[in-house]
Order: sequence, then structure tokens, then C-alpha cells
Amino acid sequence: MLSPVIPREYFEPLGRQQSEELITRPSLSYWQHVWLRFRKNRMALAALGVALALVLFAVIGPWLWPVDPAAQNIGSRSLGPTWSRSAEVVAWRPWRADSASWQAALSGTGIDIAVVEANTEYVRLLWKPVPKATRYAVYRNDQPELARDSPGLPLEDIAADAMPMLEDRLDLRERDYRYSIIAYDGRGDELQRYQIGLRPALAISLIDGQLQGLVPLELDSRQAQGLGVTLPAHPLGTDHLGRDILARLMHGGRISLFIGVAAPLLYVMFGALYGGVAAYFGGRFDDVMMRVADFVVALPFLLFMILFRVLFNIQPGESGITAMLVAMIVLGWPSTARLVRGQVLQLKEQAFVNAARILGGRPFYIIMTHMLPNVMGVLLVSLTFAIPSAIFTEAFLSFIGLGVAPPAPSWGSMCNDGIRTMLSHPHELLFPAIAISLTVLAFNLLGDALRDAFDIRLREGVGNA
Amino acid sequence: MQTFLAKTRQAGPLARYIGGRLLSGLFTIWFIATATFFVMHWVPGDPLSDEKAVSAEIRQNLEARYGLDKPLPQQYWIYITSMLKGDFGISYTQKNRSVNDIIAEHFPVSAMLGALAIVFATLGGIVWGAIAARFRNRWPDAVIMFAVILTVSVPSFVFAALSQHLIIKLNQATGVSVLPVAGWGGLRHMLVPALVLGLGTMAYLTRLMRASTLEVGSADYIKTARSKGLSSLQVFLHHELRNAVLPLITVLGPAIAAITTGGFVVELIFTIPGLGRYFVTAVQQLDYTVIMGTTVFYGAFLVLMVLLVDIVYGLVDPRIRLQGRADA
Amino acid sequence: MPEDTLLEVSGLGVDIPTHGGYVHAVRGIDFTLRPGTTMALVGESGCGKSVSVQAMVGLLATPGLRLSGSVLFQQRDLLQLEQGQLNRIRGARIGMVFQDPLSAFNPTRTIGSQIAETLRIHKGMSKADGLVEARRLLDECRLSEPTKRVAQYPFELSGGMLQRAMIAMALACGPELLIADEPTTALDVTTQDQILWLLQQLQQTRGMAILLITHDLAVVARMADEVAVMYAGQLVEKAGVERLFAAPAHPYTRALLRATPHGEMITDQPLETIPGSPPDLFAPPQGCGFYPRCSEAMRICRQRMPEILPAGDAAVSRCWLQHPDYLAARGAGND
Repeated sequence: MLSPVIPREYFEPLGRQQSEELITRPSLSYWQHVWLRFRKNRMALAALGVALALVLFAVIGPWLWPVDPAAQNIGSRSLGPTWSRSAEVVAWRPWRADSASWQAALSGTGIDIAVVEANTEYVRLLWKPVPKATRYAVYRNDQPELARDSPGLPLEDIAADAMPMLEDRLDLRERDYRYSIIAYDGRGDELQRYQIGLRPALAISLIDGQLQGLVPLELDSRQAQGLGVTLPAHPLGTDHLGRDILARLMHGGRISLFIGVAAPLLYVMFGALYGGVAAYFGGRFDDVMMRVADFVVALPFLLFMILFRVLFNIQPGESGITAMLVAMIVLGWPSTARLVRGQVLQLKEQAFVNAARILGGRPFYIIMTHMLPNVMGVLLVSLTFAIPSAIFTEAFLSFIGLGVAPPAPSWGSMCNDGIRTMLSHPHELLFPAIAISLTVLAFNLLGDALRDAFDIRLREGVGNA
Repeated sequence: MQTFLAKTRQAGPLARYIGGRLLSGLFTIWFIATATFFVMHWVPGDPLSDEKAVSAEIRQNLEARYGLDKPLPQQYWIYITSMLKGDFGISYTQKNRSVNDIIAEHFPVSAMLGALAIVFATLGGIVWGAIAARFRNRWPDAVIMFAVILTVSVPSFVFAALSQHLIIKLNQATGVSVLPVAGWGGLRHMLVPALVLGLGTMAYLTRLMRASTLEVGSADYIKTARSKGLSSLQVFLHHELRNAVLPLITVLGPAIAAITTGGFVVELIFTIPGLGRYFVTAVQQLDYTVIMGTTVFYGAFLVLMVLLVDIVYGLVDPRIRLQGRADA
Repeated sequence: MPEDTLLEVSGLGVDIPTHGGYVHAVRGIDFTLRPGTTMALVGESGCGKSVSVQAMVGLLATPGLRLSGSVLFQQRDLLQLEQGQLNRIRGARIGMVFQDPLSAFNPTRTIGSQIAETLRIHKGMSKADGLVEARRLLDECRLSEPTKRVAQYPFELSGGMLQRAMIAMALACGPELLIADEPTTALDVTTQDQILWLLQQLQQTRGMAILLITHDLAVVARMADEVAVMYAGQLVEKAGVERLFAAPAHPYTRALLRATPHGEMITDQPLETIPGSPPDLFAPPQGCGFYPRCSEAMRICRQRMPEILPAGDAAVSRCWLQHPDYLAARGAGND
């Protein structure tokens, strides 16, 4: 049948040969398995990195960026992100243009309109009188690049018998403007239209400069005029009161993350203890304890939030971090308690726990070596998932005015402020919203990854991969 | 006689269950009412002390009107009995309005918005979850699950603000009012707020639906159905979908609670005259009767909703509906 | 293919993708089944018996699954059929019964509606007619109070009752082949006996063939005409039932028989076990899969896979002990 013939020595009996065939897998502890599976999940590592970075941002950030989060600066309200800029100190004094300087400014041929001065504190314009004009309407277009033909914002109506000049001090920014001066006759017909584009130089008033410590207090307006100073940078801009958003995000992060971590930590621990005790004693005791837990679940959170604020005597408009923490802890624990109770009840029936008991293990030993490590995973996962929900709760409460109140920043209260100016200055909402979302996203992903990593059913997969 | 016995045996466990739940629900509502009452009375200074320059006479009148001149147990008794009669008292800040009027006027608005949000959330959750499960580990699954995790990571007020911003931009771009930016009126006013309100729940339900579809998909009875010669569409429609949707019903109770709370924010941002916005205003103004009345009302509403959802689930799932019959 | 062959499996291979790569779960099995007879597929758990049967009828749905060989059922290759054609065979020409009847029924639908569903899609029956027919089938499968059972839900029935209902559902359209995947494993011994008896009765009255998957040799002895023993994704022995129990050819079969309690055993005689565990099917061994656990292993067993070789009485075995060169060498050595 087969050729060539198989040599006879191939048919020598060998006896049992198992040992050399045994492929030994390295024996790994439960936590090593968990870590191995966690490490393989790239998303989980990224989430862990982001979560750690956010904690560092809030904890170490204020040292690296020592800007007062509560310092208001009316001169730089709702600024977009800026780096440090140099500005000129200007001291405003009433503008009195005489006809000589007026003529000098418009002396060249064909010049109908002239810019005398243009900085972010004031813009001063002069123009040639139009014969037969009775009044001049002055407009400023703030977005000449967008609305090319629109004259824009009406600034002032100037009678023709006054000097044809304009001083504009209305919320000037370092950007392009186009001014239009339209001359009308007595019947209201347009006679002439002058237009000029300009970009004010960055300036800071003497008072603001002295308030911010940029200009020595002993200088008077004449000495300080024209002095160059460097304005502070606002990498994430400023809010509607001119406060630095980066500094507020860092300090707000401390509050938001503190509440976000402390509340879940406390209620997960309490819930674990509660559920563990209920399951350990079991029977009627367990029934009663779980009935209490069911009852607590049915209580409305917001009501108790208000009740605790009242109990702690917190007035409307005041920060109530303690009340918030207490309300979250008092009402938050039942879900963990149920989870741990279920886990412990299940473990109590497991063969290895029975085996340990039969072999003479004391309850304390069984709890420490068999119960606790198996409950730890569930605890860690529920803690990780509780953090985003606590951060949301803080944001929600601060948003409706029951949480952190101004001037103390929290991410929720910053969002609340930001929503008011959302249409004109979206960055004031955007940055705190991103901070919340990023944190919640990171902890959600982390929770998912931990749940997968702790899932014992997946444990076999590691050795083969 | 035989059928009658069979019927009572069928109805027995469910009726007993509902009875028990109703009782514990009533206890919860009573506890909420009592806790509210006592804490409101522990407040340092009575609510009328804010009133500017009230003469002693007016003050006495007011106290008599709100029942503040009576001893505490009597006040409590009045409070509980009037609440049992469905009378929640008179608002402190709006002197001519009773809390009942406020609830009657504003709750229907919140309820309509919430109902539409639940519809959005449930339909969306089922559809997206089923799609994600059917395309497991392929790009539609990845896209849907990414959207889900993004949705649960962004606070609802940010979504509300952003959608309002988008409506404004849309109206600007088209030059007509495609959708109202805020306010209350017809269905057009409800559409976007309800969608925003239901978004978080939709994401949660999508996740749940995906998991439950996958779990059902690997069940033995699906293999049986395929072995019977059903096409994959028949298997999906007659066996998978039906069984996968069932567990979603159990979380509808908590979902209704979440949507009720979320309604506060959405109503605030879209200036919808719902009870939620009223409640937040009352909280900010410390209008105690309104706070007490609305929280007890909300508490009762939620307890009732959770109970209702449980009963519906019991009726839909034969395993629960017929528990008694299987035991017998 | 001879006229009297209902099912002919040749070279069936199944590779299942997992996170760690492909599992070579089934590595080329061949057998034929004649109409009205019973073939038992035996082996320990994980040997690929269930996987190969599910692969035959297209019930494995893992994306990336690799199938090879052919499965001719009534002259048609099931592995080459389109889904629609396969669906017309499954449930109509081939009925299936699974191990755990409780989980094999949809828990949210009545027994009757699930049986009627089969009749509706294959025979175009109305729902009402389907329920009447379902009642008749339940009666045929000797389920007590069939009228009541039709309207009941799976959790309201015991395991044995459910397995009868499962058989009724599998037989609804009068299939030529019944595949029974461990039909009695989840049941207690008395119920097992009743179910096996029912299957025998139904086979007699309906004349269908049964492909029985089991790890229980007692069930095999009672039910089967022919037996195929599987080990590590391969057939290691195939023989008529009497021949297999009387003179097992493969060392694995012998070990299996020694590990099974039977009537003639002396009570204090210890039951033997098979040491070791089956090979890793991620990387199947080069030689015989059973070699590390085999008491009669030889040098060649480790290096080369034995072929299917005749072992007398129409039996075949995949073992070097049946190789003519071995037999010749042993004959020479004995001289």
C-alpha cells in the first residue's frame, strides 16, 4: 500500500511521552491577567493618560500658570485666545482739535478724511466739510471683510456747524474697521460718502495698566503716555468679566474633580460595605437592608439637594460644595450596594469558597483571600463609572444654581456663564464644555476597559494571543 | 369554577406584586412629603422675613393665610391632609396663584415634551442599537458606538446650547425661520428640545439594545430558528428583535426620571414654560410652597411611572406574567 | 454515489477564526449515512463533533469561517448551496434537536407558535392550521395534554416535555434526516430513556435517518447502527456498532470503552481514565493527535499522521497499528 516500506525501527513502542509535549504557560495572578488585558487595549491606555493629564492639569496647573482666576479685567473682556502682546500706554485726555491742526491733517491733495490717532482706547478721525451739508452720520463696520457694503453700526450724528471730527471709544479691538461718514443735506438726501479703513493699535489705558501692575503707580499721565508694556497672555482667552479662562479651568478643575472623585469614592465605599454586610448575614436582615436601599433609590435627588442646602444654611447664590457632596453620598450608594451584594451572594455559593470553608478557612481569611479580590474588580469599575456621573451632577447643579456659585469657578458654573455669551463669544462655553466632556469621556472609556479587563469570562484568551 | 380558580391563580402573584409596590410607593411619597415639610420648617427665619417692611398686621394676616401661626404638629397635619386632598397651597412669591394652578398649567407642557423625548429616545435606541449589533465590529458599529460615547460625555446643556446655536445659524443661512429658536407653540417648537432631551437616554438605550441584541443573537433558540429554515431576516424580526427589546422596558422607569430632571435644563435654555423651569425658578427664589408641592408631585409622578413600567414589563414578558402558573 | 446513500460527507474541514488565530476544529472527516439508519458521532467534548454537524447544515455563522470538503445530502452539496436553497432544506428535509431544550426554545413565544412557524414557512400553512398540526405532532411525540401545551410557554414545561416538543418541531415537515445533538445530555436518566425510546419508535414509523451526536457510549450501544469516533477534529475509527464494542481497533476507542462503566464490571474494579488532555487545535500536531496519551505509542506516531486504514469487518481506523508495514514488521519480529 505505502511504498517505500516504513523501516521497522519506526514502530518501536515509546511508552507515555506526555511530559515533553506539555507546553507550560506562565502562571499569572489575577491582577497580572487584568493588567495584561488592560494594557492590550490601546484606547484604555489613552483614556488613562488623558485622565492622569487632567488630574495633573488641575493639581499642578495653578503653580505653572499662577494667574488669579478671580481677577477681573474690564479692559480685556471676552477675549479670544491670545499670547502675550505688547501694547502702548495711553492716557486719555479730551480731544480739542483746532482749525490749524485740522488743516494740517488734511493738507495733501485729494485727502478728504484723515486718521489722527487709532488705538484700542480711542480712534480719532477728521474730514473735509461737505458744502451744503447739514449733518454727518458716522457709521462703523466691525466686519468689513464679511459685510462689504454695509456701513455697519451707527455711531454718531454730527451737526454740520460743529467741527467735522469724531472720537470713537466704543469697545475697540485690535482688528480691521471701516468707518463711513455720510453727509446729508437739509432734505435728507445723501451728498457725499467718505470711507476709511483702519486697524487700531493695541493700547492699554493708564488706569488699567496701573491696576494690573504693568505701569508704576508713581508715573503721571504725561510720563506714561506712549510707554510700551507687555499685556498678559490668555491662551484660552478671557470670560465676560475679563478673567483668564485657563486659570479658571485649572482652579475649576480642582473643584469639579474633587467632587467628581470624592463623592463616588465615599459612596462606593459605603455601598460596598452595606451590600457586603447585607449579603454576608443574608436572610431577613438582607431583605430589610435591601428594602431600605430600594427606598433610597426612589428618593428624588434634586429635592434632597435643596433640603441639604437648607439644612446647611446655604443661601441662594452661595456655593454649596458640602451640601452637594452630602446629597450625592446619601443618595448615591444603593447601586453599588446592590452590585456588591449580588457579587458576594454569588461568591458565597462558589465551589472555591465552599472548599475554603470545608478546609477550615476562617471567615476573615475567606473574605480577604476569596471575596475581596473578586469584589475589587466590580468596585473599581463602578467607581470609574461613578466619576463621570458625579462630574455631570456637579455641572448640572452649578448650571441651575444649586452648586458652585461665582466667583469660585467650577467647570459647570463656567459653562453656565459661557452659555450667556455663547453666540458672540463661543470660546467661553467651548473650553469648559471640552474640559467636562474630555474628563467624562476618559473615565467612561476607562470604565469600559476596566470592565473588559476584569471580565473573568475573557480570561482564557490571553495565553493564546 | 375551574377556570375561575385558574384565573385567580394567574392574577394572584402579579396583583400581590403590584399591591406591594403601590404600598412602598405610597410610603416613599409620604416620606418625601414629610422630609420636605420638616426641613422647610427648620429653615432659620421664616419665609416671610424677607418681606420688606411688613406691618405687624399684614404679617399676622399672611401668617394666618399660610398657617404659620399654628403649632408645628398642627401645621403638619394641615399640610398632610390638604395634600391628600390634592391641595398643595399657595405660592409665596406669586400671591394670587395656588401651587395646584401652577402644576396644572405647566406640567402638561413638561409632560408633552418628555413624552416626545421618550419616543425619540426609544425609537432611536432600538434602531441604532440593532444596527450596531447587526454590523458588529464593522464600521457602522464603530461609528454608532463612537457617537454614543460622545453623547454620554457631553452635558445636556451643552447640547441644548449648541442646537440652539445651530438653529440660529440655519435660520440665518436660509433667511426664513425654519425652526423656532425658543419658546412654546406647536410641534415645531417641541422638535429640537425633545430631541436634545432624549439624546442621553437614546445613547444609553442604544448601548443596551446593542448588548441585548448580541446576547440574544448568541442564544440557542436563534440557532434553533435557523435550523428550522428561517431566513436571517425572519430570524431577526421574529426572534431576535422581539426578545432584545424586552430588557429595554425595564430601564424605561429610570429613563423617565432622567428625562424629567433633564427637562429642567432644556426648558430653561429653550425658554419653554414647563414645570421644570418653574421648579428651578422656585428653588432660586426659595418659594417654599412651590418647592414642596412640585417635589411631592414629581416624587409621586416618578414612583407611579416606575411602577407602571414594571407592570407593563410584567404584561409583556410571559416569563413574569405567568410566574404563578409555572410554580403551580 | 450509491442509490441507498442519504448523506455523504467527504473531507469536511472547519477552521474557526478566534482572537488567537484559526482553530482547526475539524480536520477532514468522511462518512456516509444510509436512509433509515442511525449513525452515532462519538467523542469527548471539544473533539469537533458538534462543530462538524453544525458546519454541515450551515449553522456556524462566525465571519471568516473556512469550510472545506463536501456534504452531499440527497445528491446536493450543502456547502455549495445558496442561503435560500439551504433554508428550504433545513427544517423541511433535515430536522435538528439540540442539547438543552429550555434554551433551544424562544422563551417569549408559545410552543405551538414555534412549531407552527416551521409549518408556515415550509408548507405555507396558515397559523390556525399550523397550531392544529402542532397539536397532532405533540401528540405523536407522546406529550401529555397536547392541546394545553400548544398554548404554553417553554418555561412552563419540564426538560423532558420540552425535548418531546423539540422533536415534534424537528419532525414537523417529515424530514429524511434528523440530527440530534446530544439530545439526552441535559435530561435525567429516566427521561433520557423515554426520549431514546421515542426516537426509536419515530424512526420505525417514519423511516428517517438519524445522525446522533453523543459522548455517551450507552446511548450509542442502544441507538446506533454505525459509529464514528472522533478525536481532535478527526475520525479515528468507524465501524458497525457490534464490531466497535466487541473489537475496538483504535487505542482511543479502547481507552474510551475502558473508561465507561458497564454491566459486567466488578464493583471494586477501578474505572480507568485517559490521562492528559487533547492537543491544542490552534496548532494541530504533525503526527497522531492521540499519541501523547496513547499507551501503545510508537516513534512514527509522533512524526507522521496515520491514514484511515481498513481494520476488518468493514471497519476503518486511523492508527499505525493497522498499517500493513507494522503488521509485517510485527510478524517478522515474532518469528
